[in-house]
Amino acid sequence: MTVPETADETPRAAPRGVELRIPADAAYLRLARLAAADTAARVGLGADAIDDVRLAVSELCALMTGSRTGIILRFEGDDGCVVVEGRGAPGPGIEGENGELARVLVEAVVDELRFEAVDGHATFRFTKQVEV
Amino acid sequence: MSESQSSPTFAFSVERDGATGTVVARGEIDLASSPEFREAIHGLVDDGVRRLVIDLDAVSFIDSSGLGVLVGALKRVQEQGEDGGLVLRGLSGPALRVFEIAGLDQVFVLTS
Repeated sequence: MTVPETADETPRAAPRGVELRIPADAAYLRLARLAAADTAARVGLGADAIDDVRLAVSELCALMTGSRTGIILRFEGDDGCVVVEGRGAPGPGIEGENGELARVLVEAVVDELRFEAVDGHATFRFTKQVEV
Repeated sequence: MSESQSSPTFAFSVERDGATGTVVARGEIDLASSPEFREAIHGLVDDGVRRLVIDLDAVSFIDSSGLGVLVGALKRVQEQGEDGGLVLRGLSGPALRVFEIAGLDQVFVLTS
C-alpha cells in the first residue's frame, strides 16, 4: 500500500456509481439484472421494488441485444433512489409486439423513464424510489 | 419425461400423457432462455398435444419474451379447436406481477 505524501495524492472518495459494460447478447442480461438488484438493495428498496428494477433493466437491455455494439450501464443509488442509465445500439427486438410490450412493462414498474433510439444509438435512464 | 437446461439459470421438464402435455419450468425465463422454451412447447403441439399445462411455480423471473412464448402457445392450442387448452399452474410472486401488468392474468386460465 502506498501512503500519499502530498495533499494532491489524497485518495478520493469512492464513486457511488457502478459501471458495467456487457456484450449486446441475451446471455448477459442476467448480469445486468444482478447489478441492478444489488444497487436497489443497497439503497433500501423492498423485495417487490428490487424485482421491478431487475425487470426494467432486463427489458431495456433486451431492446439493445443483437446489435453490434456493447451495452454500457451505469447504476447509481443514493437517498433511497436508484438511477440506471444505459447506452448502446437498437437491436432487432426493439420492433414488433415484444418491443412494445417491453416498454409497457417498464413504464409500469419504474418512477421515471426516458428511452430514445435515434440514428443507430439507443439510450435509457430510469429511476426507482423507495416507497414511503 | 425429458429434461432440458438451456441456460445456467433456466431448466424445464416435459411430460406427455396422451393429448395432454405438462411443462415444468424452473428459474429465469428471459430473452436467452425463451427460444428453447418456445421450441419445446411448439414441439408438443406439433406432435399432437391439445391440452397444455405449464407449471411456473419455480419461475423466479419472466420478461416480455417469456410472455410472448406463452401467448404464442395459447394461440397454437386454440387453433387446435374446442378441445385445445392451456393452463398456467403455480404462477406467483414477481412472475404473476408481470402477468398482471400486461393484463394477461385475465387471458390465461391460472391454477394454483
